[in-house]
Amino acid sequence: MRKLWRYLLLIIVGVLLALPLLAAFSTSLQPLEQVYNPRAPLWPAQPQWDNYQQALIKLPYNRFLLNSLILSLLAVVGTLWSTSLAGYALARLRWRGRSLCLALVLIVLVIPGHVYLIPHFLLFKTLGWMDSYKPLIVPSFLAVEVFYIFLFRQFFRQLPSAYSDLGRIDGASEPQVFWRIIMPLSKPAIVTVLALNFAYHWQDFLHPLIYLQSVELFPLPLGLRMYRTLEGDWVNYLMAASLLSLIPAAIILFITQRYLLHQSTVIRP
Amino acid sequence: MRTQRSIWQFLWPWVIGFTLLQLGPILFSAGLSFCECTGNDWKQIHWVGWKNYEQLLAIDYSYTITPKDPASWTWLGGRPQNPRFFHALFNTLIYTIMSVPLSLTIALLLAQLLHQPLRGISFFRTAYYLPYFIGGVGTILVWQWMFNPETGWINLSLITGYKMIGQAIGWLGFSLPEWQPPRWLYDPLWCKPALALMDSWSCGGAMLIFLAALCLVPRHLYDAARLEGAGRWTTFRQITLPLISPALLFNIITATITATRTFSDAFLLQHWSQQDGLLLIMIYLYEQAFELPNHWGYASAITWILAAMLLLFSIVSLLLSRRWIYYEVRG
Amino acid sequence: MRWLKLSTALLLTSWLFQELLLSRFQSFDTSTIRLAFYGNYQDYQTWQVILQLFHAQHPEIKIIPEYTPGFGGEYEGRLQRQILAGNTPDLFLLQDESLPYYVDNHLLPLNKLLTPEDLEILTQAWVTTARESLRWDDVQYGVPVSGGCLLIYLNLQALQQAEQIHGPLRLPTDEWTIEQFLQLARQLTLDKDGDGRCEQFGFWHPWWGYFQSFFWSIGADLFDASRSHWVMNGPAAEQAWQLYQDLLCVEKVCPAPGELGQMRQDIAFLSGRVAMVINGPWFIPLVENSSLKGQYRVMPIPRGPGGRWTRLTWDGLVVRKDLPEQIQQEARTFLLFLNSSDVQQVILNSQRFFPPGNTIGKLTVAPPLQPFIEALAYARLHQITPHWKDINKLISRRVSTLLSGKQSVAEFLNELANEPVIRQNYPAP
Repeated sequence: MRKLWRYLLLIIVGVLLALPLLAAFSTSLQPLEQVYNPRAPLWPAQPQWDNYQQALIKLPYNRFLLNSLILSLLAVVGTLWSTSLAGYALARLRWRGRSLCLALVLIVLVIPGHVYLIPHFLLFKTLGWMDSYKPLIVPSFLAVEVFYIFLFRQFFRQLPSAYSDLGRIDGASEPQVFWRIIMPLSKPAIVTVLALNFAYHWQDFLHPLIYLQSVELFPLPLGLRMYRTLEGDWVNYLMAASLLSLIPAAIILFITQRYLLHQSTVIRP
Repeated sequence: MRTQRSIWQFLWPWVIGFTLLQLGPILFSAGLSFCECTGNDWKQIHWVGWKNYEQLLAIDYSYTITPKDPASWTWLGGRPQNPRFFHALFNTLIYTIMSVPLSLTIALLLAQLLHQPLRGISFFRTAYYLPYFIGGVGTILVWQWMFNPETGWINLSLITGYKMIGQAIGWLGFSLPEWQPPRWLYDPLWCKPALALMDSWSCGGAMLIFLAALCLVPRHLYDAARLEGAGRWTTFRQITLPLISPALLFNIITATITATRTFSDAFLLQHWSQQDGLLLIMIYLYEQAFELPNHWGYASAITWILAAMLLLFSIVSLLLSRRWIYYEVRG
Repeated sequence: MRWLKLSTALLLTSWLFQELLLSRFQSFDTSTIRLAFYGNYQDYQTWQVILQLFHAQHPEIKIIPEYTPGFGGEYEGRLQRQILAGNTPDLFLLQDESLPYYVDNHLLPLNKLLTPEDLEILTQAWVTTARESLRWDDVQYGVPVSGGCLLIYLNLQALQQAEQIHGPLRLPTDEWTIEQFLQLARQLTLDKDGDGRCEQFGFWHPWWGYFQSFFWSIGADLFDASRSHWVMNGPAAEQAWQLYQDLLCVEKVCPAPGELGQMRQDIAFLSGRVAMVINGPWFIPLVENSSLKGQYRVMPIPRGPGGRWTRLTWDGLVVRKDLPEQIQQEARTFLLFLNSSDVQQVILNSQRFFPPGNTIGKLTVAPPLQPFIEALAYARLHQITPHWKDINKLISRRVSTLLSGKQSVAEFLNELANEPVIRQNYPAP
């Protein structure tokens, strides 16, 4: 009986949390004349599923979606590759200057990201990278997201050194040890970084805003904003497009949640 | 020797990234904040010393203050030379003060709720974490519609609730006064609470950290407390809170930094009727840097003032935390 | 293996720096012009028609439209980011009051692009205000394309509601005074059930800038003729802002800020919550396509001690400063083409704006637009200054204190004049 109450409470809170999405879902199915009517029923009498189709046509939604996917995936691949390498070097290899580098990583971690906004803009402009994906992707390949370096380092340190020693005895080079032995063992860390970094790039608004100007290159966050200023505020289409934009991230979360939400070792402060 | 050589195979991306995209830009930006560089022309750059900082922070004491003046800053004893910057600072402060406690309280409550040995709890964990994970422009636009004063579900339910209370009281022979629900994003006062409420919806990150901390609290302490007959609140105060205090400190610092650097929410929800109510410091920075006539030097100075404030905050809260934080003695 | 690595690295590096390397040898696609503009869907269609006409006449020139939905802010944000990124469109639409923000560094004066004769022909074809609108320091920077002035819209259904109580009301035929306007606004304000909340408000002006026409009619203004001194003080200014405050605080004919929620001015008017609004011709298509078609009337701005004025704005095309030589001829052709009567007719047909030509009489004007074209006779431009946006924000913020009734007009004006932006840049004469 007690358990039932607990489930009930969990469900009620869950519904409360879902209210904004439910409201948006209801609005996305309303005809436009009902949208601005405060006396309209909370749930449309005749759901206009056509709105979703319209929302996709009104603006090049599929284009935005594709752009967003390309951008986020490339950036995630870059982050995974570069930060895991650096994290491994900081965790498992012995070399002079290691503690200095670790200190540098920690200092960068503390410096708020907005400091880079202007110098990066000017740098990328000088390189002629404006209105292209380079400013959004290349930094990921250069391990600028130092938080993940730190995360990988913490993870690699926990792995028993016996594995890599075994590899070394077999005569494998250090990169071979890393790619063949360490990485396959690091699925939890990889999945965590993948999910968190994907969510970050999927949501990022400020950087695409200042680096991209052509509508054909817009990712979803910039594209969605255009729905708002369409003729006459088609709120129902806007809500449909917004909800659709949330789906990919939600799918990623449900795929990765097993590692993301249960790696208490990884996310512990 | 072998290790020394192979280290570059691991480190070169980070070394390039660090020098070109972090160390270089930091030094460049620090230098730029002492320069004047308007428009788009690189060649007109020149050194101005502390002028940018002075212009931002200087207070004009010669100005006569009238208490009714909406732009007056009586407590400063004068009037800022750049009232807009101070306005932005003030807005950011107010917003942070509202949003951090609200979102952390909700995060802690949700974490407590999720910290139960129930079948299928991981589904609920995922579901509660979802708003944080899917956040961004899509959810901001959804919330904007929730906050619509006429048709948003928030105000509709407020009005319905008020009417129901009115009816209930009506049977007793009283009547409620006329009441208008807040206009949220279209009101200079209510726009900040609205943003804070929206922010606390996506508190999943903090929730997860609380949850991890709660999982580490040893069960036997709770059992002991129950044996001593401690109530729920006492248990929470005496056992849970001290034991999760490191997580709390971490969350306070992270949430404060995040709230201070809020950009896209405020940028997307700006509306003229807020009368600069959502002019946060990052918005002001954006205006100075990426709107004409833009001032790179001036904007860089803003970034450094903000960075200095955040660093100061982190250091001070870490120092103060020694008094209230409980670090488990690990044996 | 080693060679493979090396060549991959080389390839990657050259890909990363290709823009930098290629920029030295870049050849321009000679016959395309990027044209940036904004507006709603109707404006977009108007531009499509104009471009179709142009491409039919000049198939050799290709103009690529870059359309940003929405108005003002969003568009200019994108434009400014493009400028800062070094990616400026070749021609772009600009509202007259934004001109000072671009003039110094980003625009090509028309006399550098057009021959003196062509410029003369162009400017002579425009009405005076259009000629002055996109001009700065006596240099012409823009070709005005579409303009609009403000008049008062009256909802006739709301009028009938009021007449049921007050009997037949007199409407102005051609001219009326501020006193008559106030009288009508009072009569149009209805609180039928007497609960203190009005079902119908007489008048609404959601932004102080729209109210400038009234200021001018009373004889007040922000700046003097040289635009270097702040003159919004003295008796006329006090009278003008007193009217602004009284409409809400004393006469109670306007909704208080927030009383109508988020409702936009246009929706408030169309739904009958507000009987009179001040608005421009761009409002016409919306009203004509609503149930209010034929049930509304457009009335002049009332005359006051300072005469009779209405606020007029022009949008025009400007040219980016470093327009490549190769497309200057094409840009010239397009700008001259905008002046043709075909284009002017297209703009008139949109019923949202009127074109700048002074031969408008020869074109067909839709009846709803007629009053606005007549009002051109007493229309004037708002005084453009390089600090307009700051000053607008400042006044908008202060106005709410004034409207709350917590501040007297004299205090308000005094503090306004003391604002650093104003005090430093526009000292009192």
